[in-house]
Amino acid sequence: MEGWRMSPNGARPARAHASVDNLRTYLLAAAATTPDRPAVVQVAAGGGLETITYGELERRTDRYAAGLDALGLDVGDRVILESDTDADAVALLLACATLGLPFVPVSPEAPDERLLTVVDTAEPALYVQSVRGRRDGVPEPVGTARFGPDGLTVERPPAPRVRRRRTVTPVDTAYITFTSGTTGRPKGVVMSHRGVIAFLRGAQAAELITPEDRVASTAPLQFDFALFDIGFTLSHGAALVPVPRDRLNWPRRYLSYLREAGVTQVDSVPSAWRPALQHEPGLLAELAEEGALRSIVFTGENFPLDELRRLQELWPKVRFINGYGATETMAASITEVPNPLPPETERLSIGHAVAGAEMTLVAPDGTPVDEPGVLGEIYLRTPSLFSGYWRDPEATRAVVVPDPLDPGSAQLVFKTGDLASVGPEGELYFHGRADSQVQIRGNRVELGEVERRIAQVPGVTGAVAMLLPRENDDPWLHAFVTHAPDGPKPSTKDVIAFCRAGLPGYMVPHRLHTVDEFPLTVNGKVDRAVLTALATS
Amino acid sequence: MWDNSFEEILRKNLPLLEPEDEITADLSLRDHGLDSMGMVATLSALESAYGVRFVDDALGLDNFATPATLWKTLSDMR
Repeated sequence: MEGWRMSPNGARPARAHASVDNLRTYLLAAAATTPDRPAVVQVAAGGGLETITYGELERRTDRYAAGLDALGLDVGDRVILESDTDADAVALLLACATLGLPFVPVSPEAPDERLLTVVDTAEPALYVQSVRGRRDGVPEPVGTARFGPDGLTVERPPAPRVRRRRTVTPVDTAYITFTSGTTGRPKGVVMSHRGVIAFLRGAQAAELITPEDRVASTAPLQFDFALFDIGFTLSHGAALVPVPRDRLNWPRRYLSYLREAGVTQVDSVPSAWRPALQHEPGLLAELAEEGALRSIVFTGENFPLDELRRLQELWPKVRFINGYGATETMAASITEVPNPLPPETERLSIGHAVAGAEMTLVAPDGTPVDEPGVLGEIYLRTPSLFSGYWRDPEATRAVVVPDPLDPGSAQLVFKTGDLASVGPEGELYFHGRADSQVQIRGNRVELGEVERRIAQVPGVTGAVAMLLPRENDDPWLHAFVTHAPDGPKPSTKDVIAFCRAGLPGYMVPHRLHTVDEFPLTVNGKVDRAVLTALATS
Repeated sequence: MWDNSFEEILRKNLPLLEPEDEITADLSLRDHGLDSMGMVATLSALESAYGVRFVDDALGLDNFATPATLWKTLSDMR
């Protein structure tokens, strides 16, 4: 490759020393001990299922690493990876980890404008999509490449750069995931190799799976739940079963796929079970009776207890595992839910943090909460603490704060923004957010980001977004807008189309209501109760 | 042309369609709020109303694109 230079320190390609934590080393440990065991079970190009062993996954990783290495990138240079989860996508992200290139996962379903915002914010050296990807228009000087069975094909080499680093350290960035942000731009959560591996080690202590397990992964790759699935499965030497998106959407195809692939554990957001529970309870029951299903892991939102109970009736022998935590620490706790749930249970326990971490409840005045039932905010001390928000030290300082129990110790902990109460054994119960963040099908959404987007529509003078429950169904995202008195009423179609062009699908409102003005409370705040009544009338 | 029961099922699953809006053959169902959950609910309602079972190949986004494509998919199965 022409154009790139090396400083004396960067004269050799950087690698992590075998003795230190690196995502590649950690997740491919089974390639040395059990190279013939399945690492990924997936749909083959010609239909049917194929198995990619740990040995093969390592070969693909090394091949991609060689391809990336030839581009002269330096440790810390970002690589956007746009893909659904499959063996090659996993190999590519492990190749990035090998070289110390932080990967930024993006969904192929993200609208162009969203991707361009991420490109603009992350300033990657390289953008990579699969050979089947259909994205174009990634701006220069970002390099572009495709990955697939023939390795890495570079379409446009990245801009020349100086290589200064000689080693990949555990504190180097493993990945950056972009989540909804209050300022109207996505927020980049920067996670180090040390951080993500610390969490995965803690999770291993829960002994949930063995190398015999086959774990279905259903979250899109840009949602860090997918990274948890990959990390959790491969660190156990088990097999990952990515569920293709076109199967996930249809309960019948989804459940038959889980059976065909011999899945023993399914990881998904709770709402992913809802369509099957409503329309295919018979097939669900068969999955545990005749299939291999032994456990499910859910996270990202509250599991409605009536649905959880109905699922347990269908699956009396299946283990139910409640995962809790934020992207900023990968997660916090993994708690088994009793099956059946005792009839008096009104709220699921999020238990105690995983091995190596601890949650503390703190009152608004900064003092610890000791009495059962009293609400406090969860502060988490953990070695899986993220490095900070990408280019946003102010937002980082707001959540990475001195230990409230020992402020002089210089120890920093994560202020989660999650409210909880403590139970008799010190276990915690989640009670919602301290801010306006909501969970839509497990995806975290800042309502302010939706409101800002809508407010950009010509003629709209103000927007309020609210997530409102529906009986026995998914909650709907409602948007309320005001418009200029002398202008036309904004068309629902235009507003929704504008949202869809810039926001992920789950952030697009289901209903739009035009109001003359926002009702206000006595304190001068928007009266959400009145808007709720309006929406449900 | 489709019948009332088809139109009723569609309306129920198109949250962005105003009551006064007409359902035309080439209306974009997605633009009027039919998401993946809505598709599954529509599928289930159509199956019980018309006594059919959508075969695996019929479960695709293309078949749920417009009232015309969905009605054709349904009619082919009856």
